[in-house]
Amino acid sequence: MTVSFTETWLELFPARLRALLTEAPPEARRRWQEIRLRIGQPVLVLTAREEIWLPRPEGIPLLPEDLQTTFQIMTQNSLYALEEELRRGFITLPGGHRLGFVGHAVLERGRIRLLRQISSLNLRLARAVEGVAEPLLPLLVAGGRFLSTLIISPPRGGKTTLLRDLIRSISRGRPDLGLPGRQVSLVDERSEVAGTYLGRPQLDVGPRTDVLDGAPKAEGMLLMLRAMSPDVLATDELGEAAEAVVVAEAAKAGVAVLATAHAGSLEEARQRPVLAELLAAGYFQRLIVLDASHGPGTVKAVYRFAPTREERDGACSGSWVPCSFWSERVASGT
Amino acid sequence: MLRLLGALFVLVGTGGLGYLMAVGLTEHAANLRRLVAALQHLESEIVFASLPLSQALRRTGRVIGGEVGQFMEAVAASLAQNDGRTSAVVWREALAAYGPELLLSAAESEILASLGAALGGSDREDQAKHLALARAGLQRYADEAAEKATKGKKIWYYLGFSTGALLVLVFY
Repeated sequence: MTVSFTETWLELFPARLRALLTEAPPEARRRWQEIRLRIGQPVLVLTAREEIWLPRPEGIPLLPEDLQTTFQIMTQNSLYALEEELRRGFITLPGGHRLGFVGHAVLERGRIRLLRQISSLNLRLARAVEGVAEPLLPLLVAGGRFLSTLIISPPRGGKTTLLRDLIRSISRGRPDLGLPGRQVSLVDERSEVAGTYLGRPQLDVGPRTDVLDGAPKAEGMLLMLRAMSPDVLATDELGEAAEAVVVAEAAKAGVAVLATAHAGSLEEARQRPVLAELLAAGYFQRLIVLDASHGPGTVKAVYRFAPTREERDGACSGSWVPCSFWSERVASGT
Repeated sequence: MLRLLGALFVLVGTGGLGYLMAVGLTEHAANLRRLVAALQHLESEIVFASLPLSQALRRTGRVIGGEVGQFMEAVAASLAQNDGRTSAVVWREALAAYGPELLLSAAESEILASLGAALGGSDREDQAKHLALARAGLQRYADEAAEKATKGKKIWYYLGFSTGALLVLVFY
């Protein structure tokens, strides 16, 4: 597994704040996860374990101009080009970093039209982790086809990272596993998987991947099925009934689905109506369960769907059984 | 003979001076006209095409050409460097460098300076307002300058030559 970490985000700050941030040694900066700026408060940096006020020890309050210039530079002096982003409160920056912002909301017919007078910024630093999907892939491929897979994980479990790495691997292809490069359609509602910024994916999602950025999942997945004829349809965070309908649609059309969902375990997933239905109908053939307790990206279990009876429209009944291969690997600690 | 040569020099000198003044007037008017056209173009790149500011400026600069175009392309090039400066700062510096070449008056520069401070820092509607305001201001000066140029051009020509002629007559 390689973790590539570039400090592209340092260039996103105006000179004054850049000087402040570079006071910390590069090794320390590698552990940073979030940088928070608030008017009248010092810069706050969060790592997995601690919070740091900059400059040390207790920081100097930020001026309104600091936020204004930072925001302007981070939006490449082109706020006007970010209509949709100004409404939803975040943008993805070069390098895949994500900037959240709030301030004064300008309303139109009772809904937020845009945000002005930005008073808080939160920069979440992206780390591209390549190779997390490596040990899992052999379990997800059969007869040269990628099998429909659902990744479930509690928050901060690393499911988006795993999803991105799987998409990249499928898109590139794995000839050693008999899997040629597949056409992947990614519906990236929150620009989190590909990190699209001004129309260009900032994170590597592979050479055969089409990204529909910012679209609602159900509608976007249908559009992808019709417009791009994918081999694999990928999306983040399934959970709505309308999305389940499209997953069924994809299964009928013989398109593999790769998706994530919020749940800590198979049992927990079964308690959520939509997920329970999806799991029971056999639209997914593999289930990966992530575990946040040993750090993001730890795989707790992999299940495979053992169908017992074929039903109409691509659905079938069956049961989920743990993959013995994976259990053995976990037991032997490799 | 020498006197005749001297008289010719005086005539050519003053005439040339008058010509230069006339050219300055026309050029000033032309620059203002170009600036108005440039802001119009920039507005469509920003409001309709939603291009990032550096691209919008670069394209506008290429279309408009001349010294106005160079000014816009210079701002675009500095912005593309992503060196942590806002567009307001970059614009101000470029204006200081190109302002004299554009033959702008203090009031005209001021209109451009306040536009630069607002450019890229707000939503689409707001940008359109700022651009329209600056354009209207510059248009007024452009009209004035055009009128001044048509009248002033002739005056400066005649003044140049007649001053020369007068000098020659007096001192010959």
